[in-house]
Amino acid sequence: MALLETRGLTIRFGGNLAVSEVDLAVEAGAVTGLIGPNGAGKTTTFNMICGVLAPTSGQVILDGRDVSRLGTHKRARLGIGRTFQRIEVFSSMTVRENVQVGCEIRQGWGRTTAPGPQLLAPKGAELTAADEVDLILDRLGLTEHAEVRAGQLSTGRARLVELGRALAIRPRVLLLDEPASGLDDTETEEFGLLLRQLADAGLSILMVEHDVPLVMKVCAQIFVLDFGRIIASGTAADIQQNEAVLNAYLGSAK
Amino acid sequence: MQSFLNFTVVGIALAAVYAIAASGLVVTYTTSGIFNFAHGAVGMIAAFLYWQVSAPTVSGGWGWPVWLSLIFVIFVAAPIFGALLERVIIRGLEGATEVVKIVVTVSLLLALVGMSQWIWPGNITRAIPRLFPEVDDRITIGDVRVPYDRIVILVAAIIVALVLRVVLYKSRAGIAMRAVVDDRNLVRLNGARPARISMLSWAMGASLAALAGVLNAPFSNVDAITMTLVVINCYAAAVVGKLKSLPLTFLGALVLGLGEAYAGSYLDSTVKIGGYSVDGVKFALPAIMLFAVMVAQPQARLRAGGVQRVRETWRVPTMRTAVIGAVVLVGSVWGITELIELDAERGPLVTGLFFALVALSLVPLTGYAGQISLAPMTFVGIGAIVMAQIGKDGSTPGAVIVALAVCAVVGALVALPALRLSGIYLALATAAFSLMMSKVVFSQPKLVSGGTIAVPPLDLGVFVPRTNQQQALLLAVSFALLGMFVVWMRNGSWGRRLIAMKDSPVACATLGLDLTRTKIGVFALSASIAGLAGALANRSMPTTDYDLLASMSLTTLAVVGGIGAIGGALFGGFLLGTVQGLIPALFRDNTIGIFRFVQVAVTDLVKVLPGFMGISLGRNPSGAVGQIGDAYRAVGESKEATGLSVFGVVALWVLAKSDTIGNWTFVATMIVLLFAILPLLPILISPLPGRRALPAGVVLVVGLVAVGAIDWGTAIESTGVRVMMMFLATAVISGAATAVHGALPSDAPVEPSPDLLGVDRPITKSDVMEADRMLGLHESDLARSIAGGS
Repeated sequence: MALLETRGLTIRFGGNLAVSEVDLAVEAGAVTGLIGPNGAGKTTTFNMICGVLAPTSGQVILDGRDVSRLGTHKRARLGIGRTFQRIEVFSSMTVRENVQVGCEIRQGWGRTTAPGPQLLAPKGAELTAADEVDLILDRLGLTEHAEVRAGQLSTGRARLVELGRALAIRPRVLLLDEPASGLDDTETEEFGLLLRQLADAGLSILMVEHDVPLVMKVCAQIFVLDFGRIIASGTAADIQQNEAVLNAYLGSAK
Repeated sequence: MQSFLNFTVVGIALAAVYAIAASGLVVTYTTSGIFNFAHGAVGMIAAFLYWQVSAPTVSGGWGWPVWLSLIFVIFVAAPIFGALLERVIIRGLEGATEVVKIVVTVSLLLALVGMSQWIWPGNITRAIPRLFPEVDDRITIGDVRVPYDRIVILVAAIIVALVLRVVLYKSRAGIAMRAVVDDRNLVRLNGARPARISMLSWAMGASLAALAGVLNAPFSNVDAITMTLVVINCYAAAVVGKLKSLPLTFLGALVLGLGEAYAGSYLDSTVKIGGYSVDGVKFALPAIMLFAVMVAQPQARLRAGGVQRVRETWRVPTMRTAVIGAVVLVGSVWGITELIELDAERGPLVTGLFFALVALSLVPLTGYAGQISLAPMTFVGIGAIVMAQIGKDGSTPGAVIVALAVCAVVGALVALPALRLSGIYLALATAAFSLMMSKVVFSQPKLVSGGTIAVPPLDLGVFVPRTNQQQALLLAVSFALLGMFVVWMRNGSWGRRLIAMKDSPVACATLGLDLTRTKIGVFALSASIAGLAGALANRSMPTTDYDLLASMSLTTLAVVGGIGAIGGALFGGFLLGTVQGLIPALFRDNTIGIFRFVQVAVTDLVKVLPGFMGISLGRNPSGAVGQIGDAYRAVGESKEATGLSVFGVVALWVLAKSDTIGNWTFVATMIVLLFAILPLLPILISPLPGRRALPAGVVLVVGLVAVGAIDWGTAIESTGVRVMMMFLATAVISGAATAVHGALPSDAPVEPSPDLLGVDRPITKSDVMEADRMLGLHESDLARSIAGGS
């Protein structure tokens, strides 16, 4: 069964139907892609899933539980983590502090929620908070930038900081909004490997990304959004053959 | 029934005034994104100006006819003033933080109130006559008499509503205005000029404020503060329309006007509940309405718009710095009080430390969490009342603890509805709360007898502050301990959370942080620190010490001082304490004539200083202390420089204490030491090649000795001139030493000029990434194409 689902997710801004009847399913321990042209409603969908925007109708289901009525922070505590398309790092803090704050906020959740294990760590490893921060920085290649103020980073690196910060709350589902933009080819390749590894460790990932080769390589399942509607879904091979997708991206041949 | 209908007439006319004023507020807020706290003050100035031009010459006016005066004030002077405000002050605020935006318009309010008291001093009564003064100027419907004046107001409101409707929806300018609200940059790309549009809206806003101010003036006291605060009531009306919708704003104004008229008529001072009079409740209506509307509003939407580049920067203080600072503060306060012989003359120091303690309450709230309160002095008042009531006969340490707790709880309750919404609502809610407390609670004779609260001294058994020196030490130690606590908190996980929340609220929420709870926590902490200051005040506090204007001055100067740092709170507190206590004393005899009809005493300058200092924030949002800190950081980093400066200060103090030099000479030499010698000391100790460090050092020492040889206390009669001459001497010494030494190295890190990129050095990938980032382009593609091509 899918870990994260949306059912009939719809939002209107005034008279503008931005996202309409979107049904997504993110399988546990897999990377799922959400692609589509600019303005298709991808980030808006993300905002509804994590509770930043309230949908006009539809539901968000996490592990069989309807979380549609919960606030953003409560959904985070249930295991929905995310990064942002437009950088939202804590710009006046260092890279290390950005990740550290993530750990500290998780530790302050209280007993109501129990976060899962740190997926970057070897199974069964006991981690102190400081170890966990070091581990995340190391795995994301941020150790040498740890004392740099996050506001001074390039976009690609700032995205990695956001990813590290999101991993610090030990999410079950991670929503990544264009994580590879700002990375060069080698970095993108390494990033793809990291995603695979996280998924293999049990993390479910929903990713919006314009780097089509990356999406085709790492995503088990891909949804294509156009004008706020799902126009296709399936494996990478299915999508590459799909006529509706080709039309949306390249324009109709007619 | 008849009286009810008459009250209704009064209420509708009042509602019309609120509606006019509130619509001006909404127009400026929506088009420029700046909530103009000085809106009421603009109306007040307009009313005074109207009096000035229309009053007969015998009473000091210019005797213009009423119609000409109305046209001049509402359609000429006010719009020009509004447009000037936009051009000179408001335009520079684009991209500033919400705190700075709020503080700048609050400062504008303070400056305008101060200026009006300058130009139109309160020593003569200025009555603005009704437009229709005769008793017969009214129509009678049944038993209800409706004076023409009130009809005029109502008609004016209807005309304003119609004109705004037509202007905003039919005219080209209006459509552009509404477009600016939606997306300022898009409007610019489409060829319209947002700056011009914003200027137009400020002109309209000022005009509407003037209309409201002039129409209301005959029914109110012509007094700067009353008239400024009357229009604060219209904030509540504007909030009904969520600061956006004009029809809802008019509805809010109607409810407010009627409610106030009924409450004012049916509740008088004879109505009491349990010995407390309830007639103040009519003044509380705007606050009650504001809170009710805020509670009814849904939680604000989090905005994921990308992190702004913030102009303010703060260093994270270390515990070590905090401890050193605490010791230096307490030591200095002791040293200074030891030198001053008359205990009464230690008063300004106590005042400064007191304000510093209150300003410290804003460091976690405003400096760290980015939230603003316009009611710090209100919590001071609450703390003072608790101390006075409980500490009078009982245990004063116990009373301090109760004061802390009461302020925390009240603070949390006040902040709760506002914190779910955006920052501007907290400013409005705290302002309304402050006004309500002044009218409803601080006016109760049972609590504040004779208009003052007698705060007893803190009785610790072994230590009871009886003299100003003891009080100064108590406040200094309290500030030092609390300052260390705040630094400890800042370095802990909660402090980091506050900073994170200021940087990106939406990211915090997606990490699972409960924003509302965190904000309430920090507001409660802030309120209790302010309450502590009130409980420790140890004097009779008149109600003006903790009213809205006092709070506004304090918040303004705390932000001017540099609210992100403990030192900023200290500096801001002393700024306010000095402005209020020291400057009038120093410059008692000095008068400057500016215009022929305005003889300005320097003491009057004091009234406008906080306002002007706040307005200057638009240019330097980090406040003063950041710059001061930068200037002296090198001293702290060099052991020799630190040692020498400590030795210098102690040596001068010993000379003064032993009466070898007079106290004024001590002040003069300290000024030379602090402002001329210390900034140069580090580079003199580790000299730069090719510069003349030794001769420069000699110049400084000679200068110091020369200044020390003068007996300043007798050399110059006027204290004001004396202080100015000290600074002049310091500037001369500093200039001479710098000239002898040769050019100083620039502190600014040398950024390679992007213009020469590729000429003086090869283009690297990071250059391309940086350029892409600044252009907001999709960088990976561009970077890749460059990397592939070269």
